[in-house]
Amino acid sequence: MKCSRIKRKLSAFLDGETSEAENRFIAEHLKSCERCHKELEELSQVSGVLNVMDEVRVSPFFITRLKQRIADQKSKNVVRIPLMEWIKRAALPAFATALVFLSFLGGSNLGKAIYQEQTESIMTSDTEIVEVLDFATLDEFPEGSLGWAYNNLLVGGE
Amino acid sequence: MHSGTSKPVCDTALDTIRDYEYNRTNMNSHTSEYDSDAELIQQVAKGNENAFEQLVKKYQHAVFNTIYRSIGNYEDVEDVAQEIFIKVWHKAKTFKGKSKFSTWLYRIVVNHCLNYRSKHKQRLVSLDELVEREKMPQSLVVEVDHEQRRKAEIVRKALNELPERQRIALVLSRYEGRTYKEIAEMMGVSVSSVESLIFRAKASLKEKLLQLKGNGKI
Repeated sequence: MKCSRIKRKLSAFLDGETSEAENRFIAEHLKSCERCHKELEELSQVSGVLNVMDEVRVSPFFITRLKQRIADQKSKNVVRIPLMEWIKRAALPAFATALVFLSFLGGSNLGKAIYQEQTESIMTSDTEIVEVLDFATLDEFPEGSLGWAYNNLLVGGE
Repeated sequence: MHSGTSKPVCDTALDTIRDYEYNRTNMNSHTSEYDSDAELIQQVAKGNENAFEQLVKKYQHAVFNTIYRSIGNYEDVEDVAQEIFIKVWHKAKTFKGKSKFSTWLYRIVVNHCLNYRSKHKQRLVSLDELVEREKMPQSLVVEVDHEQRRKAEIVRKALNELPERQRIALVLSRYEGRTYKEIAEMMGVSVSSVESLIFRAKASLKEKLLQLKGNGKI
């Protein structure tokens, strides 16, 4: 490995971020290379200088202020929901309800129409039967006959 | 001995000291990540404010100092820290547990620090400004002697002059004790990129700081 590559690895070497194989190779190289050895020393000195760094303390009221800010955001969000937003939110449920109601109404009317059509059809077929059998009304069927039984079913007799 | 009437004042002072000591002892606690972090963030996702407070208390000191060293001024540290923890509160539901909580948190910290820089177009700090900074509210700074503070300002100035990604990678490695792999996750880059960022940062600092050291300024 050339010195330039070793030099690029020295920072990671000092941080303990090189592999065991790299560590052995670098250590071996440092024994014989004065320039890389000097570079390592300088990098160590930089690390030492970086230790001189001030630190900030957290204000004892930080959490209180943080919670207050979150609470303020919440209350703003509640107040800030505009009328249009509420309308948008209500639109979908309202549309769904209207759809269900209209479906119910349409279904009911359709049912009525079908019922009426069927009743008329039955009355027509009754008239046709009477005409074919040449009886004035269904009441004129002889007792015990199929026509009499059918008539009985229609009028709800026994 | 304290009289009965002065007790509440003493209690408050003691609480403040205890809080401060708690923060100091926990500043490097990320190396032994507690299992409870995952449980706490799950509770936060459900809107549990006590769990949120526990997480904030645990990480606030480390977050404050990472921000401070990354953005380079006192004034905006608390504001940026608030924005970060507010994001944690709102985005807790999106934490899936694929990484450690602290890695997820620091990803937010890194993004905020990068955004801060691009928003505020960090100025280079002049010597006059360094003097002015001596007058910053000392309640915010951990007490050190004047000489050490002066040296620290010079180091911080040198850090401020680094390109932001180099600086943040170095801060996370040098002051937060993060591994290159963790930093790579936090910054969304490869491990070799982190190695390169830190190498270049140290090379720049070497030129500046060793010259000052040779002149006896630090």
